[in-house]
Parts: sequence; C-alpha cells; structure tokens
Amino acid sequence: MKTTLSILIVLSAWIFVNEIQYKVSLGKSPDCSGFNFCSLTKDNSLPKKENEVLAFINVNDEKHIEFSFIKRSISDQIFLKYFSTGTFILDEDFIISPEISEALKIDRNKLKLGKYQISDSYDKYVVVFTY
Amino acid sequence: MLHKWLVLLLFFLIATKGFNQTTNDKNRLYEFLVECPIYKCNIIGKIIDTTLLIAPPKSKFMLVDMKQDQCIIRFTVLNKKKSISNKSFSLEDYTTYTYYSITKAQLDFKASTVKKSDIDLVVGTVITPIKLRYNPFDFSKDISIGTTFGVKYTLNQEKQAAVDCLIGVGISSVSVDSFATHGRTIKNVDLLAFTSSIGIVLELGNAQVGVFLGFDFISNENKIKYDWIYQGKPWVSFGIGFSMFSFNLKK
Repeated sequence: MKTTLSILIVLSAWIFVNEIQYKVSLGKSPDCSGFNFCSLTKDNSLPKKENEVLAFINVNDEKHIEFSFIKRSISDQIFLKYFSTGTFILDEDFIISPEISEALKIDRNKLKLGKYQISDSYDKYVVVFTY
Repeated sequence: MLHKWLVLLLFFLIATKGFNQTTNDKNRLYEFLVECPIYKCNIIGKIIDTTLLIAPPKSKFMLVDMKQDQCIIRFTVLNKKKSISNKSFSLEDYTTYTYYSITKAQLDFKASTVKKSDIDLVVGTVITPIKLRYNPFDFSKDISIGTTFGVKYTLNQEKQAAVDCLIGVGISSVSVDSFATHGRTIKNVDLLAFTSSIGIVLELGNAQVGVFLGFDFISNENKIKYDWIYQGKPWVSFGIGFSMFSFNLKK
C-alpha cells in the first residue's frame, strides 16, 4: 500500500514538474495593443515584459482548448485590461505557430475570435477557447 | 370614503418602497460603468503604490470596506456556474488578494451593483387611467390604483430591456350611469370597487408599456341596488409609465 502511494506521489510530482508552461504575450501584433495574443511561445521562464503571462495549455477535445493563466504571473495592468471584466476578448482569429501546434498535437491552428468566459480557479484564470 | 382608502393605499406603497431600498444596500458586488482611476492599497486603505491604474468598464469588484470618503475594493472574476455565497469565498486564498482604493463619489457615480440573477421580484404601483369594457363595449376613465407584484425577467441588461409579469389588487372608482345599471339610477354615481388584474409590462430604458386585464367588483349591497352590468366582467387597459421597483431573487 505504502509503495503504491509513494509511486503515485512520485508520478504526480513528475507530471507536475514536466507540465509545459507557455508564455503568452497579450495584445495584438505588431505593437501588442488591442485584445488578442501578440505571441505564444513554449517558455517557462518568468515574464520579462509587462504584457507577458505564463499559462498551461490543455486540449480539451477536437474543438476546445483550455488556457490556464497563472495568476502570480499577471501584472496589475494586465489583469485590469484583460481579466477584470470576466470576459476574455479575441478581437480576431489567432494563428498558432506550427511549433506550438505540434507540441499540443492539434491539427487545426486557429483560435477563433470571440468573447470567452473567464473562470477563477484558485491560482489560475481559466479560459476555454474554440479552435 | 373613497378618498380615505386611496390615502391608506398610498401609505402602504410608500412603506413597501422603504423596505426594498434597505434590502438593496446589502449588495456589495459592483461593476464599473465607465473607466475609473484606482490606486493600489492595503486592506486598511493605505496607498502602497502611487502608480495610477485604470479599471475598465464592466470590471467587477467587491466593496471590502468604506472609510469616510474612501472605499477599499478588490476585483473578482465571477464563475458563471459558481454561486455567490460566503462558502465559496472561504475557499479562496485571501493572502493573495490585491486591494485598490477609490473614492465614495466614484463608487456612487461610476459603479452600480451587479445583479446575480436575471429574475427579480417586483412590487409597485400601477395606475390604469382608461378601461375598455366589453359586452357591451364601453370605455371609461375609472381610475384603479393598487399594489402590483410579480416577476421581472431581464432580457438585456445593457439596453435595460425587461419584461414584467404582474398580478395586481387594488381599488377603483367606477362611475355608474343609467346605461350601466339598466336605468336603476338616473344620475352618475361614483362607487368603490375591488379590482384584481394581471398584466405584462415591457421595459426599455425608462420607457414602460403595459397591457392589463382585470375585473371590477362592487360591493354586494351596491350590486343589488344598481345591478351594474360590468360586475365581474373583464376590462382591458393600456398604460405607460409605472412606478415599479425590484429586488433580486438570489440575494
């Protein structure tokens, strides 16, 4: 029993450590203004720019992809602009780069424009996008 | 006699209105209507960062504390399926909260309370100035006044569009004449009648349009005396501009 429990704990810790973090630059390229993703990269280093936030990404099904934005990586200005209304706005379709699409193992690479509900999940803000 | 009843009814309506306003004051969840300058502070209201931040319209916040002219707030993201209760808030880590300071004037003029449900209970006054009566057709200026209550369903909060389904009881002043009494009286006589009605009111901003269907009942004594032909028969009335006030169902 103890052995099984230990294996489960080690396995959970391994999964947690190895969960890929993504760095999301909020805003719309090229100047990162507006309401969209300026860039999306596979990077778990701490955000350096104010509009950068860290997120975990999970593919829920063939149509939905879940972004869990880590609260501690979100600056006050970014929270107020993008999260405080409870609605995350993508003002036009966002094209996911081939590298990220491959990492997420998804065929389609376009997040559809729209207004998405933000859910508060303890230390994360969760947004489920349609792709 | 009729005058006394009307005064008594108005007193009751004013008392009811006072009760509802007290209930509204308990709501601490707000939403900014326009952008608002805010400063980061601690929970006792001391400004800890003088950087000017701007809260966008529609951002939702809890009023944590109020000190003279200062309000301490914190922003909250509402989960659609999560009910707002003290139980759900206790699960959050309050040590991670960030507080902001705004003035009381900003709270009053730039924010409004957030409704937790699209359905409200409504209580109010409806005055139906003209009644259309049928069988035989007639129309009269028999004024009805009374308490109306029901439910209000908000169709669009931004456009302030809503539909109210109402039930009303009250009293009316009905004018009976020779025609309406089979000649039992020659001159016009004003009688007091009990009125019950149902109605639908459409609200769009400050405009309100409603249609009501109701029944008037004069007393048994007057019924025998005058044999009023519209006793218990339906009437239809249209109206604009009602005095309705509401309170949210999920408070």
